[in-house]
Amino acid sequence: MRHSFGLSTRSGNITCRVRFGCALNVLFLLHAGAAWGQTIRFRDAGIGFVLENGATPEKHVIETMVGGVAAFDFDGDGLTDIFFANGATSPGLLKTGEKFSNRLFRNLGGFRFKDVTAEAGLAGEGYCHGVAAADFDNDGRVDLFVTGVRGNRLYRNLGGGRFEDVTAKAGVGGGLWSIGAGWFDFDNDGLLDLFVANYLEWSPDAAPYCGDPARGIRSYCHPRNYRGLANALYRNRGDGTFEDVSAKSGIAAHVGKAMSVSFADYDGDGRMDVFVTNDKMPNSLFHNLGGGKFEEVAFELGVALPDHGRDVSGMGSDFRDYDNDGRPDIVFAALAGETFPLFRNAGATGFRGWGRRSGLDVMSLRRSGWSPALADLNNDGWKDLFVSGAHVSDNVEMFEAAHYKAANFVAAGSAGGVFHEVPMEPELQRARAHRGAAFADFNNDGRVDAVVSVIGERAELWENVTAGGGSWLTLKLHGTRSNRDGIGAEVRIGSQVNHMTTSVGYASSSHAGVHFGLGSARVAERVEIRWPSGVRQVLTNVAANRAVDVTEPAK
Amino acid sequence: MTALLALCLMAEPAARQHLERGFALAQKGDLKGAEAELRMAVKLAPDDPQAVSILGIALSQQGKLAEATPLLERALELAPGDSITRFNLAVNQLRAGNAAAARPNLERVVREQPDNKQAAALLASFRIEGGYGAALELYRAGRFGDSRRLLEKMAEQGSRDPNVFRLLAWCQHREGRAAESRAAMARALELAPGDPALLANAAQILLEERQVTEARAVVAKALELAPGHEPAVKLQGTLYLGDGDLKRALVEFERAAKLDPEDPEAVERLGTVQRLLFEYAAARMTLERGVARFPKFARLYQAAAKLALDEGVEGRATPLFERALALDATLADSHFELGKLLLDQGRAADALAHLEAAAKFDGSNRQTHLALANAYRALGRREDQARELERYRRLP
Repeated sequence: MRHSFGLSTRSGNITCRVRFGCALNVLFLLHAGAAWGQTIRFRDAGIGFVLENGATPEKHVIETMVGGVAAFDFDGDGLTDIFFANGATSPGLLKTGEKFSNRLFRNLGGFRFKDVTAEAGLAGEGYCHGVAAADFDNDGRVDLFVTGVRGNRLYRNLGGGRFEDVTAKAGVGGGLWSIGAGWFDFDNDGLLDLFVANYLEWSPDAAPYCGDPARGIRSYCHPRNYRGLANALYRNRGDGTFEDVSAKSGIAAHVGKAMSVSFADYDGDGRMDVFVTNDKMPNSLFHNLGGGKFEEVAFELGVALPDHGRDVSGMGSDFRDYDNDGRPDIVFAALAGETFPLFRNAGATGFRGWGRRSGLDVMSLRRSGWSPALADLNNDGWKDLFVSGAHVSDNVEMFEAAHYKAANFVAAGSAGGVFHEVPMEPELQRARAHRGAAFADFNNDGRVDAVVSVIGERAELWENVTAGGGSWLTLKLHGTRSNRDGIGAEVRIGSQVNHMTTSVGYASSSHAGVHFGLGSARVAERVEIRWPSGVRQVLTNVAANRAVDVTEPAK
Repeated sequence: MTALLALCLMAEPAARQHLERGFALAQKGDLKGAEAELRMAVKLAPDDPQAVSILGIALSQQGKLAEATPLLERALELAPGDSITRFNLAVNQLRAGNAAAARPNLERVVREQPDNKQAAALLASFRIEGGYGAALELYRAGRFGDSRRLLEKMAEQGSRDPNVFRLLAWCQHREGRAAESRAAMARALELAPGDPALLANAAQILLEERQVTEARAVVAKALELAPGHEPAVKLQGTLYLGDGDLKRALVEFERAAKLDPEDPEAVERLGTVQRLLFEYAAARMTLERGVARFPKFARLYQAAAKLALDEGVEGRATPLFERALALDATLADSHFELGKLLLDQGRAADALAHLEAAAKFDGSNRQTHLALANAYRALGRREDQARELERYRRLP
């Protein structure tokens, strides 16, 4: 059900999609937090996709790194759809059958999804790993960039449920092994640029034997067995082509083993900065200096390594304010024994390791994870943490106390930036080879849901059924001077700050607006938006419990 | 005099109680607690030679050498015939680098107490090797440079004692002089080829310098020569630990603990790998038993503190680290962890002292320099931060 009507604001018009009680006439002070419990509940609605990695006894490392997922509304019907990147034969890199096809599922509502891959033309080629969704050509339709081994693909959304492979024209095919990718407008010119996180130099011809030859146990090789790669940055020219600015921006000067990329303006200078997790190497934080230049500052600002100073397996990441102090923080997943590191943005003095203070160190020490997201799952005004669970090595049990298959992890955020683990129902504690995850409100009930890919098993679609949660507000941004998706826009409601990004988790993408939990408030008295163009917009007395389309004003 | 002192103490039962409590705590290895009690005893009975002497010893054992010396000297003034105090004064003087002052004291102890084997051995090392014992004490006191200079002099004088070169290698290693350390260890192995103990020492240094491939070869050689050599078995476990093969590391440490039940380090390693395998109950039992059996082995407290941290009991970890440092002020890991805990609490200035100590006692640990950089960053000391980051980057 959708109703549209005008609502007077100081600097623009908004359209309200009514979902639950658009009570404009009731004013409450915005008060989030304490009254709302930590209970977060899900049920697995399931979706008919099985992630295939073409596993071999030779254990080519590409096989265990699969599984990106995108949540995005490809047909503009107001229901968020799902795309899965899929593997291929190993080491042949061929999609030899339907089981290796990438898959697009159209959301029919009520957690029913229909496979529309063939009609969309998105079956893909080669061995795919990640996906990044955004409207790169500002035509109002969300496009897809799919990463993989020896080449990436850009699919332009033509409308009518069809996509076109425009890789060659765009010039973003790469040719290396890429995993993560993300869209952001680094030069604030209103056109989304593309950052590609390149992982390792891999060749099936030079596959080392890893594991324990004496016992005949072969394992996926540690990343130290491979050379790293520099990441790539492509500037959008606005004519369907991109300029490779990796070298001149300074990005290519830093070789890593990148798994994920996430964006936020950590220093409030109006330019999006880039955080990249590296596998068993220090992370990178590229400070956007403006003028198309970046400076790598991970060590200087304290996010290169967790406080213990050891390299960890940096998997997926999320980069946003989790403790409501207005500054974007960083969380990323890692493997058992490493914790899921959390860096709290302390402003001028950089970031501080916050794993111990937040409780996350102890909760995550024994866990292995892939795809994290900071999202307010119970709408209490504090962002919670979801991490898809599994180890990298499918026989890790032979060497460590860790387990390959693991359950997903949910922790509730609370005042003071402290997390509390939320036990899930037994059916959701299933240990599986989870990988990528995307987050969106698939049934438009105001509660953020999750979709998680699983190697060799049906993907999980976690419907958020948290009862008695708080109010909520989701902003669907429409840039005019800024990029159409409003990626990079910062939104402030009370003490909460969130920003528009689709780069969340491991090799995955969540194109689902900017979500806020409002606790007991029924109205957001003041919503401030800072668009990437620099335009500032203020909406007042915005009723809660609805998704609001907000168009960037001219000034 | 003795009668007077006894009367004095009898008149101060509170002092006696503090003295007894302090003595008991020192016996248990709680030197910090002992120090507090003994200070009370000395305050109440400042002329009690026993109280003054034991306080001096407790301070000396904590590395507070400058403070300990006048107390031990005062105790000797009060009871000049007390050979135990004189011996401890000599050890303290050696640790403080004052071998000239230590020597006559040791000679007198040996004269007065011919059965004092420790004093005799220390004195003998003076005579035989011109100061190996002194060098060892200096090393134990964390004065690696002073110890090295003494050992280098002995080497120049033509020493053929492999232990001199072994200790020299350790000093140089602690000072970050990796190439010189290797040369010294190579010389030690020339003098005693095939000595599994020396090979184990060499492997240990290589491991600490992150030269894992070479360390692996040296350990393999030691185990080939002596398959049941407990230090080599322990090192094999450490190598597995580094490989992430925790399960095989566990087997080696269990074996090491059985091969030498009197080795507290094997117990500590076993507890550590149990912790890393998340077998917290087993780790706790191993470490608690270890502490009960080896109450003065500092690294057991350190391992127990790390277990407490992993279990999320920060309040239990801090005193355990402090206890470890009270027993061995050179434990770089404990300084590092305490520094990080203080940093975590936003007490960057307090953290610096511990992190600097960690860097002093293990200059080759790049993680310490990263933590120091973080502390300086928190304090806004950008130049110091940059310097520590540069050190971090230079280290393997």
